[in-house]
Amino acid sequence: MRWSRALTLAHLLLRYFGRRVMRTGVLASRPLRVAALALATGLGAAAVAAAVAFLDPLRSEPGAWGLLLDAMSISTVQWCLVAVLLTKTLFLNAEGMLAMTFALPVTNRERAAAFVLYEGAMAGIVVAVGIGALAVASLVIRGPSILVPLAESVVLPALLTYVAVGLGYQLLTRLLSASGLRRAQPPTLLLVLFALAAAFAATVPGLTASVSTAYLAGTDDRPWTAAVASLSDRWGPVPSLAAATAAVALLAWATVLLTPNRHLAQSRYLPWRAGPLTRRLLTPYDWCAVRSLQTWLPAVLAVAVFIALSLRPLAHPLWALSLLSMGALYQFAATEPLRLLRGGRQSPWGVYGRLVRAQLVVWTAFAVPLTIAAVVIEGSAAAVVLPLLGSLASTVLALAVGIVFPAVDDNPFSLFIGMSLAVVIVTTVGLAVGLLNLPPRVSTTVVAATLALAVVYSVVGITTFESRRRHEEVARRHQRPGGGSPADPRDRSGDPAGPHVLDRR
Amino acid sequence: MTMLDARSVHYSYEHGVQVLDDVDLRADSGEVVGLIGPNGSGKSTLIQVVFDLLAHQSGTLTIGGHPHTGAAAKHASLYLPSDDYLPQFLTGREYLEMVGHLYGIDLPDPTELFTRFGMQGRLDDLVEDYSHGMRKKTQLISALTTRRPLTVIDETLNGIDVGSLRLCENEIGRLRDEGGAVVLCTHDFALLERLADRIVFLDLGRVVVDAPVRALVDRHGSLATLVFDHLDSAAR
Repeated sequence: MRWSRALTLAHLLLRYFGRRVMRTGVLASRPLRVAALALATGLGAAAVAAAVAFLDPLRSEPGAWGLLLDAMSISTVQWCLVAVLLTKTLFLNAEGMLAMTFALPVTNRERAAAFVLYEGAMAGIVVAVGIGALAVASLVIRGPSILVPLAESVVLPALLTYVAVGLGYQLLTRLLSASGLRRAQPPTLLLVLFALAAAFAATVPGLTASVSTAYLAGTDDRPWTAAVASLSDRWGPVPSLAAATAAVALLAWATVLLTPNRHLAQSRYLPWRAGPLTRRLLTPYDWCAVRSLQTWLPAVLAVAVFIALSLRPLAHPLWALSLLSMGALYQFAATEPLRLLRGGRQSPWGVYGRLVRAQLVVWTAFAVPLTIAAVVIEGSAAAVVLPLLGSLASTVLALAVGIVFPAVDDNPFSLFIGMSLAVVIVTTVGLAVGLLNLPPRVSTTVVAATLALAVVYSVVGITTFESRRRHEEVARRHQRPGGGSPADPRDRSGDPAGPHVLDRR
Repeated sequence: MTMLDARSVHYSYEHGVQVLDDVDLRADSGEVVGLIGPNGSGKSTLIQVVFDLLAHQSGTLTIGGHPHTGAAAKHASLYLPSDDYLPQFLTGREYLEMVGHLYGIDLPDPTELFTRFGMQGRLDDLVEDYSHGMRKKTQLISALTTRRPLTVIDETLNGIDVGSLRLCENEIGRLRDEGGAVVLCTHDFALLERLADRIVFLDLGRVVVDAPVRALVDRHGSLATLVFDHLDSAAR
């Protein structure tokens, strides 16, 4: 393995991120890029300010910081598992991105290592979003003295969890390949990751209670998530930090060594044959959604979450349907060939309608049986409306993200940025509604208006994307000043069909 | 020296379709090998297996005597795919510099080659703004500047203009004269008759013919006749 080659590839991916992803959709406009950055920074600052206000009373209670840090270690592991699940789901669908490296003289292992580096960076961002505010607030209140405890309870547990889960993931991938279950790999891996995250989530209340009990009893007992801090209690900070760092390095090395080669994907669509009825009923847009593995991976996950929520009702099981919307993230980019086939300009509302219809086909196929199952399990149909509407709303938002940040080349980065921006906007709206304590009718109107805005912006996004594809903006720039439509002959030798670039002769 | 040695290569897709059945492909230093066959005959699959883009299933594969999956094999070879997999967010110059960096070599200034290929002034434009033919030519320029011991060209010559095609023909000939091995996968039989030393004809995943071009042209009149006769034959 030549690390320099893997780093060159990682640099290529970084350029991809900077030149394509950070300039797609709304981010193509510099003012909007600045506005998006300002919004994200503002939200981050607000989160830190809120965390400082929350932690400030602990200034005079040094003993409570142990409780806080132990609790943070539990959140860290939880966020880390969520981050792994999210990044693996996005990167499992990133086959198109791999193609960019096919003509380059790198081995499969070097290619895989570059992607592992990127997955790690993305997971780091998710973890930072989850626990960054509390960590920064702790630093603001306690100063540099909190750095070592933060490393013991947040940074190293996050790294250890990530590399340990990553190693397990690669081992399982190899096991499935060796068992001849290559086709079943993606859904199996996602299900295992989900099961791990769910199993850990189930232990969180117990772990949190044990932390509180230890604090109240005045003992030094710590949860296993704070194992590095426990070692520090026994060995002192330097040996424990050194041992944990060495363990991270060792696990990371083993992960890269075990990372299987990534070859060309043989299939992106399930080879389902259409019967006469379905052939009549379904359009090519529908088939794209119905046959795509990018639909079926989240669908498998949705069913697993539905079962988990039915067994342990943390929320209504039908909220699992929201996961189906992940397939909608890819649909606009995946159906581009269908729009190219038509050639000429198409109604953006018509395109949007076809995209929504395809998602509704998938949604209905799962919503109907799962709703029946939920009603049977719950014994009541009253509570199904909200999660059903919620899952439809998430589909509308996901379609908007997929249109405004199209996953060209299957790249997961556009979706990552789009989803982050959507989370920032939805969080801002949610906070505004919550802080202002608006009556239900007004809150509903705000949510409906947000969704309507997502629909309108999707249609605008389709128009802009198609216009760029047809180089209409370039054509307009080459028009003579003074207006006139592109077909206006003006003084172009009286020939409206003459290419306008010739005007400059 | 044998630069590419693929022996008894078998490959089947997951749904059971056998694409390659006991295929041999060899390319020696100072030799241009033409790889021909109808669509679906397994040419691109064979090349993708050689470059470890598809997982090797059975048979032996070496590049320059090294296992085909290793760094030494990658260093000794260059693959020009039929699809232009160029990173569209790089300029032509940045792409070529990156390729040079990955090979660990300082590439000569590609400005002159860009000009000779009719792309003067476009070296610092984004690949995204290149036409299909310009992307193909950029790929070819990467081969002509890196000059690897083994160059595999998978239908990259399709879609480029006649003048550039003539230039490529000359340059590929020069690569061969310098001792390079070139595998040229194309449907342009006339080009192969002028340029190739040996032809490997694949059909339905099997090698139908592996013989010197001269001998084939003498026997059949032309490569096109050889292929058409085979495709029309009852034996197929």
